[in-house]
Amino acid sequence: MLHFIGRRVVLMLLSLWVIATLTFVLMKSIPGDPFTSEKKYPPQTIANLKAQYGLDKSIPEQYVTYLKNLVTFDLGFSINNTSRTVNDMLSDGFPISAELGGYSVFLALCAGVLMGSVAALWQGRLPDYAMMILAVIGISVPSFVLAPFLQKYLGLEWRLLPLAGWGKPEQIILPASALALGQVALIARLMRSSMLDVVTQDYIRTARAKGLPPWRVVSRHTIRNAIIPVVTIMGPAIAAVLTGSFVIEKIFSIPGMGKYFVESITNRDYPVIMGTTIFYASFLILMNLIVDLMYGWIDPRIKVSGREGS
Amino acid sequence: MGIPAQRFEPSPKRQAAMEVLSRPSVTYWQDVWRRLRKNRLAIVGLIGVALLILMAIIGPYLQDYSYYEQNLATGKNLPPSGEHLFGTDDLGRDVFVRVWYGARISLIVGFSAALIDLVIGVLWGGFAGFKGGRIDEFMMRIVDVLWGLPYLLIVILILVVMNDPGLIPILIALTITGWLNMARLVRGQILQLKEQEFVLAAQTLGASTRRLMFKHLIPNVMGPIIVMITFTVPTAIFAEAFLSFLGLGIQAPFASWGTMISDSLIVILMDDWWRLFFPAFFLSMTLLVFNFLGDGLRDALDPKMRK
Repeated sequence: MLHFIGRRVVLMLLSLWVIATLTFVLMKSIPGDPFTSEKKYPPQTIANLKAQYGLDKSIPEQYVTYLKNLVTFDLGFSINNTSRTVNDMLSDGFPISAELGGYSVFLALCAGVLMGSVAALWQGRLPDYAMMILAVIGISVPSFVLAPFLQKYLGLEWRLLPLAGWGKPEQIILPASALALGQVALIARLMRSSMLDVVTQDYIRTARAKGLPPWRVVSRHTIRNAIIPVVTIMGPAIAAVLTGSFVIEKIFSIPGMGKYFVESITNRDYPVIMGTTIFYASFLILMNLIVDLMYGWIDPRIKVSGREGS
Repeated sequence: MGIPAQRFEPSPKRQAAMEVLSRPSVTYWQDVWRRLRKNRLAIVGLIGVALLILMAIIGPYLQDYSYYEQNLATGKNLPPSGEHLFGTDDLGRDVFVRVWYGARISLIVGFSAALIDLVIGVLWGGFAGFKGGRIDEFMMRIVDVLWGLPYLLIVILILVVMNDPGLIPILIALTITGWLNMARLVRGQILQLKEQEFVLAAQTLGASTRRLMFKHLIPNVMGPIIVMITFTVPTAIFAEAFLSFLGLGIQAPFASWGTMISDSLIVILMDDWWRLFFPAFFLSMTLLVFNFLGDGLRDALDPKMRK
C-alpha cells in the first residue's frame, strides 16, 4: 500500500512538473512580451518593468525563478489589470466555483446512485425505462446546450427560479443542475449495471435466506457493494464539472474562477490563463490521487498495485 | 431382454457426410454484423450516422444560399418558413445551410481526430506492448504522466498559444493528448496476445516482426479499436463545439455548432428560438447516435462483455 501511494505521488509530481514546464515553454514561445503594446513607452521604462518582473534574465534563470514561484504558490500577475495578481483572482473566484462544483458533484452522486439503484431494482419496468431516457439525454446534451433551455423555461417563461446571478441559495439550483446532468447519467448507468451484477451474488442470497427484510438487503448489502465502481469515475466526473463550469459560469453570470478564465482567454491575458491552468491542473491531479487512494481504501479486495490491472 | 441384438450393431461411418458442412461457415465480421443487426438501438445509431454524413455532404446545397451570404436588408432573424427551412440569423444568413455546414466541420473534426489517434495510439501502444521490458516500461511511463494532465485544459492552453483559431490547430490540440487512450488499450491487448500459440507458430515459421504485428496481432485487436474509435468521434465533436463556444475554435464566417450556439445565447431570452434550437438539437443528436452505435458495436464485437 505504501509502495503504491509513493508511486502515485511520484507520478503526480511528474505530471505537475510536465504541465508547469509545458506552460513555461508555451508562454515563452508567444512572440513579444507583456510590454509590447500600442502605447510606446520609453526604453528605460520597459527595461525597468522587465527588471521588475525578472524578464531581463536568461531563459534558464527565468525558468528556475518560475518553478520557485510555483512551489511557493505565487502565480504571477494579470497584464490587463496589473494591480491584481492571479492569486487575488483565485481567492476571489475559487470559493464560488468550488461551492458550485461541490453542489454539482454532490447532486450528481446522490441522484445518480439513487436513480441507478431504482432502475436496477425495477429492471425492465417503468423506472428503468425512465432512467434510460434520462441517461440518453444526459450523455447527448452538453451542459452548455442544456443551460440556456433551463434559463428560458424555468427562469423566464415559468418564473420558477432566478435566471442568473449568485448569492441566494435558489440561484445555485439551475447552474448546478445543468452541470450535474451529464454526470448523473453516467453515474446512474454505471450504478445500474453494477447493481445488476451484485444482486446475483451469493452473499445477497445468503442475506435474504437469513431473513433480512428486503430494504435492509438493498441498503446494507446491495448498494454498499455496488457503489464501489462509482468511486472510480469520480475523478473524471470532477474534471468534467470543473471544465463545464467555465461555460456555465459565463451563461449564468456567476463571478467564479471560470468567469475569470474565460475572460482571460478572450482578452489573451496570458499570465492569468497560464496561472489558472496550472492551478486547475494541480487541483485535478490531486483530486485524482485522492479518488484513487479512496478506491483502495473503500474496497479492501482490490490489491492496489502500481501496475494497470486490466 | 426386450432389445433385439441387431440394435447394437455399430452404425456405418459415412465419411463423406461427416465432411459436409451443415451450415455455411460464418466469419467473425459476419457474426458481428449479425449481432449488430439484432440490436435495435445500434441500428438507429447506424442509420443516424449515415443520415448525418449524407446531410453533411448534400445539406449545404439543398438551399440556394451559402453559409456566409448575409442579407442585412430584409432577411434578419426570420422564423423558419418555406424559404428558409430553419430561419435566418441576425446577419440574415440561412440557418439550414449553416447547420449542415457545421455538421461538416463537426464530422471532419470527429473523424480526423479519431484517425490520428488511431495511427499514433496503435503504433505507440503496439510497439510498447510487443517489445515489452524496459522499452515498454519507459514508453508507458510517458503515457502515464501525460494521462494525468487534464485533457481540455491542455487543449485550451495550446489553442490560446497558437492564437490562430481554425480546423488544423483544433485537430493538433485534440490529438496531442487524445492518442493516450488508444495506446493504453492496444498495448494491453498486445501484451496478452503475444503470449498465445498462434504468435509462437508464426514466429517459428519465420514471420518478420512487421508481419507478426500487422498480420497477426493488430487484426486481433481490431474489435476493441473500432469500439474506441466510435467513442472518440463524439468526444472530439463535443470538444470542438465546446472550444468554439469558448471562442477558441472555428470562427465566423465559418459555421460550427459551438459558435452558432454561443452566438444565439442572448437571443434565447427573446423569441428567436430557432437560432439556438437547430444547432443544439443536431449537436445532441450527433452525440447520441454515435453513442448508440458505439454501445451496439461494443456488444456485437465482444459478446463476452455483454450482460
